[in-house]
Amino acid sequence: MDLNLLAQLTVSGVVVGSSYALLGVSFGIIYATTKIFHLAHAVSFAAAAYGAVWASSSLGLGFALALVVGLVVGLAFGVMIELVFYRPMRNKDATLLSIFLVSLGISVAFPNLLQLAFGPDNRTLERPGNPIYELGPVTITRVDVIGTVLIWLLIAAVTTFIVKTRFGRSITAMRTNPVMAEAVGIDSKRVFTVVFVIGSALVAVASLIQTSKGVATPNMGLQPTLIGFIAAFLGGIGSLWGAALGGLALGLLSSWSALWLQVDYGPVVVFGVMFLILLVRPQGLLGKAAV
Amino acid sequence: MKIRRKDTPSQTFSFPSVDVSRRSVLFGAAAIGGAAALAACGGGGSDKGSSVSTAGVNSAQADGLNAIFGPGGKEGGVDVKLAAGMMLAVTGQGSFYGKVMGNGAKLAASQIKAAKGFNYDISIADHKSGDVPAALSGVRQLVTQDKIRVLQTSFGAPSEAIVPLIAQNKLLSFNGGGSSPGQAGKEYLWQTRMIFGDDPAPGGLAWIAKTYPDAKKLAIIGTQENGVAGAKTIGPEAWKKLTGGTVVANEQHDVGLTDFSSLVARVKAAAPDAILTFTYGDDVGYLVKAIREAKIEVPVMGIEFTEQGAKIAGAAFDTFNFATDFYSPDNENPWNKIFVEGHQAAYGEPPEYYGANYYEQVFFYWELVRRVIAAGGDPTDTDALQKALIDNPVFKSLYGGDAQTAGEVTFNPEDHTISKPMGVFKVVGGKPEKVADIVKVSSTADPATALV
Amino acid sequence: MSYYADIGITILILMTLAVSLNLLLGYAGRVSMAHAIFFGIGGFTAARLTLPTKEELGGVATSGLQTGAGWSWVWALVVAIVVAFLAALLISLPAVRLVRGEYLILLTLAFQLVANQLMGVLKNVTGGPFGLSGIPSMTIGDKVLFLPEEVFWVFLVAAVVSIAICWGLGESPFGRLLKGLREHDTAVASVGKNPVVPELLAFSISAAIAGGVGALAAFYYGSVVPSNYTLTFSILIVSVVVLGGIGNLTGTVVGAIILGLLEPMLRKWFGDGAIPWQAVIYGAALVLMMRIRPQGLIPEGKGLIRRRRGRRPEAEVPTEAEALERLSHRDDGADTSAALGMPIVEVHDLQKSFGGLKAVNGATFTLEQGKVTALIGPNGAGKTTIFNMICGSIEADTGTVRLRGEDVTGEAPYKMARRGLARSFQDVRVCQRLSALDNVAMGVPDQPGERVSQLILRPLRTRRVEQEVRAKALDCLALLGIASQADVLVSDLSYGDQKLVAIARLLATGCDVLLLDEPTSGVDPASVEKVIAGIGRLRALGHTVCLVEHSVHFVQRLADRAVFLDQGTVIAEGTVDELMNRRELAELYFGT
Repeated sequence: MDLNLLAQLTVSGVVVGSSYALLGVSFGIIYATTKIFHLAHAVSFAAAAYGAVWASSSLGLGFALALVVGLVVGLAFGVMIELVFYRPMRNKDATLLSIFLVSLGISVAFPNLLQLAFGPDNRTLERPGNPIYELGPVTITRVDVIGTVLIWLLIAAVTTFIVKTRFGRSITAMRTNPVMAEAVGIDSKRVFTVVFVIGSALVAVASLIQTSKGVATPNMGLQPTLIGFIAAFLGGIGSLWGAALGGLALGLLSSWSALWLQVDYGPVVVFGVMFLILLVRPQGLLGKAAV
Repeated sequence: MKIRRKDTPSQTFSFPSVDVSRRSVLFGAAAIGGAAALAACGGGGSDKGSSVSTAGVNSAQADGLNAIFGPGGKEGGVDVKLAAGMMLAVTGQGSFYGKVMGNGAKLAASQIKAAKGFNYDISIADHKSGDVPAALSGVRQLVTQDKIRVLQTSFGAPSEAIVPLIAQNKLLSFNGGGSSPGQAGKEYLWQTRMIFGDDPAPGGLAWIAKTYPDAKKLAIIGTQENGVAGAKTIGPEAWKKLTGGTVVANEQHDVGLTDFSSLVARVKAAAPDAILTFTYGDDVGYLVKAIREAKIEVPVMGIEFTEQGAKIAGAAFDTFNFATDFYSPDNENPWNKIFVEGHQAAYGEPPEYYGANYYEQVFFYWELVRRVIAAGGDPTDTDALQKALIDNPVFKSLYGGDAQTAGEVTFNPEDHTISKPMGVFKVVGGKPEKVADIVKVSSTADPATALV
Repeated sequence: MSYYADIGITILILMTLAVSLNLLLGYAGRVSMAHAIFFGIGGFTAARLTLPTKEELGGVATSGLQTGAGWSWVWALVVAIVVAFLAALLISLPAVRLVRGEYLILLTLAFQLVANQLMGVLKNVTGGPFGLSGIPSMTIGDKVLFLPEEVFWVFLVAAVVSIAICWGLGESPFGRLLKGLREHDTAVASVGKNPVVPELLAFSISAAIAGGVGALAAFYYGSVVPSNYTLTFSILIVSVVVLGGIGNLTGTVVGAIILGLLEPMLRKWFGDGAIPWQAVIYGAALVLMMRIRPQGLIPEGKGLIRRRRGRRPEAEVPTEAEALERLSHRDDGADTSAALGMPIVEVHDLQKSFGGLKAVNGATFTLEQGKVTALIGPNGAGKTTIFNMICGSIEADTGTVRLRGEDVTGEAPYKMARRGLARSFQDVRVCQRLSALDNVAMGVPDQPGERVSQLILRPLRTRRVEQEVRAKALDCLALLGIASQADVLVSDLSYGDQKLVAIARLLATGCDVLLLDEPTSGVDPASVEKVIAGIGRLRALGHTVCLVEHSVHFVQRLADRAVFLDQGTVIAEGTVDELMNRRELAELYFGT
């Protein structure tokens, strides 16, 4: 085995896997708490990127400010979807399947609206240079270093918030036993709103990291959303660290598969492993078996 | 992870044949019309009686054309009406290409009419940027509703899919925008552009071998869609003959990949002296960027240039070269000048590659009609037209030539491909600049002769 | 003509796929996000089988791979259907444990992504991203079906046949079983039905139809390309079903026509520029539909054929006496009176802990044949847990359950029911969207109509048996005094009547040991009387009844014996009066 290759693939796998981890946590926290299969997470992802691009190209804002605008836009879209679409349906006792289908409808319509508004072209963000660091045989860019560190800080912050604060514990209570949680006076609406704020903000960050090194396109959101829920399920619904590790494992696995296989087999390996894990351990790697 | 972006098309496959499998166009458009997947509903309405604009045609141009192609009137086929179909990306992500191809052909029809040549009567059908069922439905519609005899088709997968329909209805067909090996040698179907990737590869490698004489180890990066032969056989064999070197890596990826880090890591581990890539569309932008971010500082030879790719790669693209049959509106060739002038007048912009190819095709038909008339045959009989093509496979071209004479292209009656002038280009400040002329060479010839 | 025929074919393909998915989504209540893959599996299978062989091509196959087995299209179609069926079976077999809906979404989604990726990568099999082309057209005799207006009729036949199959299955006892599983798989298992096999079959049959139409599409288009089988297409199929009305095939047909026409219409009226709007409209339609009319355009149970939904006229309702007479005529003719009072269920030293909590701690008691035994005790005494262990829905840590002397500890609930022991649930678990009669009919054991093979091979017999089943179900309802409500949707019944339906369903199973979990909780007083009368008739029929009940009044009126539990242990047994006269027990029970 080529150790230099292994080192580079490991570093790339960690970079990619970290963004998957963030996607997994962002999807997982919403899914675990609200039980909504939030496919329209893709909307927050794309909205954040386009928000930043718009702020930079139309408002002429600098890079940092554009990122802030993007974060706010992505977050706003996520919360709006909860407030405008999901909540009224939940109040009318809609089934989870019909809420999922609404989510699907939103995620189908939105990219096309984006395309009508911004055109189908790739959009780029005006951004500072992205120096490359060389560590022996391994290279890594500045955006990747900053992004990866930021991601794990955010994941640590969110999990700490959930475990240590009173409000965080009410989220856990809502997740594990909604009836009991409501009975002891936890306001489910408030919890859901906060969960959507956190989830959408995290996915917006993932989107902005990607846009900082790539481009924005109208359809950019779907794939990360799929990855997010795969990571969340792999890790085990309800376990945020599980989702994070699930994402990291996905990234490393697909990267390491390049040790032996052509890269076009990467997705086959990843989805195949996921398929197997689902069959063998449906509760996810760190999830607890349902009683 | 690299999930195939089947549903996230990119505007940018500047070479239409690429598209096609992710070509589902807009996420939802494909969804609805999974239909797309299904049928694209008959390939849309055919654009019957598309008005052949006479804008952009003046008598000087008509005279110029008569000077190049011969007089109008009876021998020019002024009495002949040829019902023609165009199978284009009218809608979807590739609709830009549908537009310029249609524009090129319509301009040709009006210029030929002005030069008292044949009546080229165009009906258009839509394959929705590469949907196979849409293409099949569209051809059926053109054949049954519009009674077409000849067909200008585009894109790779749709064109491959309609091969049986072309043969069955004896539609003499030209494809100038999606030539794939699967279409080679098929009855009544002729390619009017170089086979993407495969044909220019020896020339591109010859340029690298000459420019970087120390390069011995080559890495090849490609996809399963286009340039397959180039990556598997043509490229490696040419490299061996040119340098005596070896191919140290031969990597494949999905079309639509954005994260090339693992692939590039594999390439880096092989420590190549040069890279040949058949990656196209947006992907090449991501690839070149990843190569430079991995500090692989060797020459990279590609097979196409796209604005979208340039956007993605940013400054990294200025270290990129590519080899292809690139069309330049600045070519001094007198026919090309008439074309550019007419295009500018009719559409307010200079023509580009695909407009040129589909414009040129109409003149191929005209030339064939003239020859059949001269031989006393029926100019709407496609067997007669094809026989005329096989008997003399040389045609005038917008490519090549000089200030006095039009260029020349030659069809290969064996496999129905074409030979056109090609070039090696480098990117300077985000724009392509020609650095060498290359030609297609046979697999047995010395690849060094590909470099003119 | 060709143009319109082609649009028609598009719609028919969509319709057939959506109808087949509705069998799964509507009747079985399971979402598959991979329907396009089965469509594709059929397509690729048919392509490989019908493409000419190398010899037939005279060795001049230019792109090398576009060769096949040179079969005729009919056999290729058959094999495509079988392959799609088996593929679905293979995928769903391991999924049976994952009954929760979102796991099936995830699993099928993963399968959709893996399979579509593989279609692009496995060049030797599928031809890679450009797929396979040159697939021969269908032929009938010497006639080559090439033009859309010719092929149209094939697709029309396919659609009609598929709709007939799905409708036939859906409206058969098999479909009733699926609907039951959709709403309460535990309840269906509790009356003796295997909860897994019907769903597997629904999934596989649905996939087989998709595979068949995939093969036909391959013959029509002449080529198969991986990009035709993407997630977006799977989503489209789901959307057609949802927009049309889940569980309603008429709705699906209408939905397919509307969505199929959306594009040509938009294009006709607004030109090519309307294309991006199409997806917006479609997405918005989905959102609006779910918000305004979540049951779809034509909701389940509504349609062209109006069904009776009111009370039955008295004349068509059997009297209680008639019902009792017929039901007491046992199939096996055995006389059970001799065994009256003999132990039939023996529970020995059952133990169960949840986490650190000891829910049941060494419960031992017996049920006597033909008697009504009540399990009583304060909340948290472990009564329901004991029920669950007896009927096998949770596993005991230790201890045994014997039924007629045989050790049946840990048998799955549906197997227990087949041995003659069934239970009801505290939260009734009757299927809300079925009529009372259908709910009860579901309980009748050994119905050939619940088996797909019998439906196909012996349609007349299944129909005849179904008549008998419905008659028996009506008798069961009559015995509980609610036969006039037989055709009413359960969701329209009072809670008390729903409990009676649940008991009638148990009665229909023919089981002679019935465990009733709080049959009167939450029930209005008038209905309580009906329940008491009904249970009395169960006893009159010779059934052994065990009930968990809080109302002492109720227990006193009904139960022959009582078992008093506290903290998971039996602390007393005897007649109800005996136990209630013991002060310490009364205190425990009433918490004074």
